[in-house]
Amino acid sequence: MTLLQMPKQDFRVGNQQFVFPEIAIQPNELVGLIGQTGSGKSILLRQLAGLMDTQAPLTFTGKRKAFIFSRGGLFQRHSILENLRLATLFTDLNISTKDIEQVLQQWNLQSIQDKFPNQLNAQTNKIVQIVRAVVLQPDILFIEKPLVGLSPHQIEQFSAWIAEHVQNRGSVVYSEESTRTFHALQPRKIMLDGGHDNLRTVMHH
Amino acid sequence: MITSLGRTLLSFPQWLGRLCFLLVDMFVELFRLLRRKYNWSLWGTLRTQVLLQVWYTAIQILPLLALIAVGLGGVLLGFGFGLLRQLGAEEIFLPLLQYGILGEGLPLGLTLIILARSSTAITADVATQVVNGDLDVMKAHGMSIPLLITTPRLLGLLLSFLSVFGIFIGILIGSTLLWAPLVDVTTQQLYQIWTNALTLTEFEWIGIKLILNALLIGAIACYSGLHIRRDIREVPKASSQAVMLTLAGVFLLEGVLLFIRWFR
Repeated sequence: MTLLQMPKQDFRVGNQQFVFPEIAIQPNELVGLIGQTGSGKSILLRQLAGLMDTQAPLTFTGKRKAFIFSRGGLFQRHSILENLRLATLFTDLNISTKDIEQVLQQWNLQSIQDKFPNQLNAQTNKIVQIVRAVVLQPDILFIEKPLVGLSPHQIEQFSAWIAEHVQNRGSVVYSEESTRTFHALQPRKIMLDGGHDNLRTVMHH
Repeated sequence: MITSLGRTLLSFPQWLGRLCFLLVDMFVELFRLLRRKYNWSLWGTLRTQVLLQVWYTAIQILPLLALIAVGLGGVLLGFGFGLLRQLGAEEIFLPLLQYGILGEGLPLGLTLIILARSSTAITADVATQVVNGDLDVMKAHGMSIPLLITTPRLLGLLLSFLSVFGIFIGILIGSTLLWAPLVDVTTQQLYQIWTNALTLTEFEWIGIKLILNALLIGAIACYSGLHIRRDIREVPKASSQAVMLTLAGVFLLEGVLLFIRWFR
C-alpha cells in the first residue's frame, strides 16, 4: 500500500510556474528530490510534508512523520531535552526522558541536553533534529539538504541510520542539489528541471 | 468614509466566525487530550505554560492593582459615602457601589488594564513563533497547534482574570477597613455595605463578564498572531491591530451585556 500520495500540482509562486506530476511514496523507500536552487524542490518537499497547501488533499497512510529543517527546526523557548520530549507527547510512543537521554548519548549530545537552541551552532542544531527523528521513529522522514554542515563522522553515522531506517522502519524523502547524496543507498531520484523565472518545473522519474 | 464603515461592519460577523472556530478547535483538542488521544504527560507541559501566562498577566500587575484598590477604597468611602452622607443621600451609595462600581466599572477597568498589558504581549509572542517557523515544526511532527499555542494562553488569561478580580476585591475591602476610621464610618456600617453589595447574582454577572472578556482578549490576540505573514515587520502591525480590535470587541460586548441585564 502506498504510504504517501500527492495529486498532480499546477500552480504559480510569484512569477514562477510549477508543475508537479502525481507522486507516490512507497513504504521503506528512499526518495531524493534533486534540483538546482529555485527549481521548487523545497516547495515540493514541504507540500509532501503537509507544510504547504496542495490543490487536492494528500493521502498519508502512516502514523508518524518527522522533518529535519535546513535551518531552525527547534523551539527556541524550550531546552534540547524539552524539544525532544515535546515531539514524543503527540505520538502513541511510550518514550521516557531516560530513553531520550540514551539516544542523546549515542549521538554524543548528552552535554547539551539542557541548553537552548540559540546556544547551539548550525551543525549541532541539525544533529539535534536528527536525534528527534531517531527518537520518533517516523513512518516517513522529510529532510532538507541532509548532509550540509555535518562532519565526515556524522555523515557516516547519519547515513548508516538512514540505511537501517529505510530497511526496517519507514521511508525517507530528501531535497538536495547534488545527485551524490546517499548515492550508496541507491535512492529513487526525482529530478526537478527549471529554476529560472517563468520556466515550468517538470520531473523525470 | 461610508465604504470604510461598511467594510468594518461587514467584517464583524467574519471575525466572530474566526474566533468561534479558534475556540472550537481549542475545546476539541482539549477534549481529545482528556480522552487520552495524546500522551497524558502533555498536561504537565500545558500546566507550566498556563502558570507562565498567569505569572505574566496576573502576578506581575498585582502591585499596580493593589495600589489602585487601596486608592479606590479611600475614594469610595471618603468622597462617595462621606459626601452622600453629608447630603443625606447615603441610601443611594449601595446601588452605586453594587451596580456602578462592582458590576460595571470594576470588570471593565480590570479588562482594560489586562488588555493593555497582555494583548500586545500575547500577539507579539505568538507572531514571533510564526515568524521563527515554530508552527512548521508543529505541523511537520503532528503536534497540536491549539494545544500548544491557544490553550495555555486562553486558560492562563481566564485564571488571571478570575484571580485578579478576587484579589482586587479582597484588597478593596481591606483598604476600606483602613480608611473607615478616617472618614467616620463604623465597622458595623462597613459590614452592612459589603454584605449587601456582594450578592451571588452580582458575582454571577461579574464572572460571566470576566470569562467572556478573557476569552475575547485571548482569542483575538492568538488569532492575530497566528495569521500573520512570515515577516518580522508584520509583528508590530498585528499587535496594534489586535489591541484595536479587542477594544472595539470589549465595548461592544459590554453594551450587549448591559442591554441583556437591564432590559431582559
